[in-house]
Amino acid sequence: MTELADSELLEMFRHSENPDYAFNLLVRKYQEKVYWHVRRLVMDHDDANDITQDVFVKAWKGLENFRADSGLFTWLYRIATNETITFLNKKKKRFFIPWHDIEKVLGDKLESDRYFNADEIQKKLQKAILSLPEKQRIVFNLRYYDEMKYEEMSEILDTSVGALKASYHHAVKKVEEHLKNN
Amino acid sequence: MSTERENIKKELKEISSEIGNLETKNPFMVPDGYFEYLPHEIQKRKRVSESSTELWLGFFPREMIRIAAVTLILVVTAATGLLLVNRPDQQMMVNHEDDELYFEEYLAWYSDYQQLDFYELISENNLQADDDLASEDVLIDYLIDYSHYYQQSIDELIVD
Repeated sequence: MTELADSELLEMFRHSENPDYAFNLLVRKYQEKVYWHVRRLVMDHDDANDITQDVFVKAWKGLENFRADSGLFTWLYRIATNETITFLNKKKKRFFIPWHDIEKVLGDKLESDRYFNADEIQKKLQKAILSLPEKQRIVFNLRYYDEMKYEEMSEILDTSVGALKASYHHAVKKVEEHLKNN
Repeated sequence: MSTERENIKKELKEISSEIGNLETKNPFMVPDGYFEYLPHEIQKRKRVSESSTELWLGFFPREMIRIAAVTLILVVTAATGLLLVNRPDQQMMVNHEDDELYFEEYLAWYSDYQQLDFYELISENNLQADDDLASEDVLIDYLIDYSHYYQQSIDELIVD
């Protein structure tokens, strides 16, 4: 089946007798993007699965009031990013993990994750990304893996394009440094 | 290769040729058929979320909820009225008795803990006890008056 445009999906959601069907199409269209965005930040599949489901439940609740002045896709990414940050903060508090140690906790988890299959250089790259501050990590992932435009990122993270470019530049430099020193 | 992708790769190579030359691979995997099943899981969670918010209200008929709400308002109003009509001296007595019991227990525990008797406790904490504090009962009354007068809790009174 051909993928519907966001505007068509929204139209169907608002005016059809079966909004559930339209929502299901929306989930199928964006589930992978949302899941991978979350997964790269939390590393663990179970956590990513849980957060992704919550993201779409939140989207369902907010879809009726969604204004199309931002794209559906950036809106979903924004919910996903916020949900993930909330999750990581809760995790830190629950296990009394200082923020600078969370990279170690998540990195250790990677080693034993059966859904992580990487060669040495990819492992090192993931650990280097984990060493970045939260915001830089998000920016790096969105640009490097999701190949997202700065303008879209700006909508998601509510940050200026200039600041995002600088953030990405710093992130890449830090990752490079980490790879050289480890 | 799209232009945007080319731009991103070019930008990356300019910042770091080492990372720019790495192959961009996704090292994470998901269980087999995961994305086929995920929409069903989301639908399930959505239903649970909807039903949990509607459950306690949806369980009762609307009329019953209305009656319960009116009853609650009447009970709260009646209770507030009773409290206002209640004589202040009776209130004071009840409070005074509560205070007395609380002071007694607290002082017993604290003097035991500090291994001081009641009078030592008073002088240790620079309270101005009168010479005529003949018994512990009088002392407790004195402390209650003192704490009310200075609006201090017992903890502040003894420990500060």
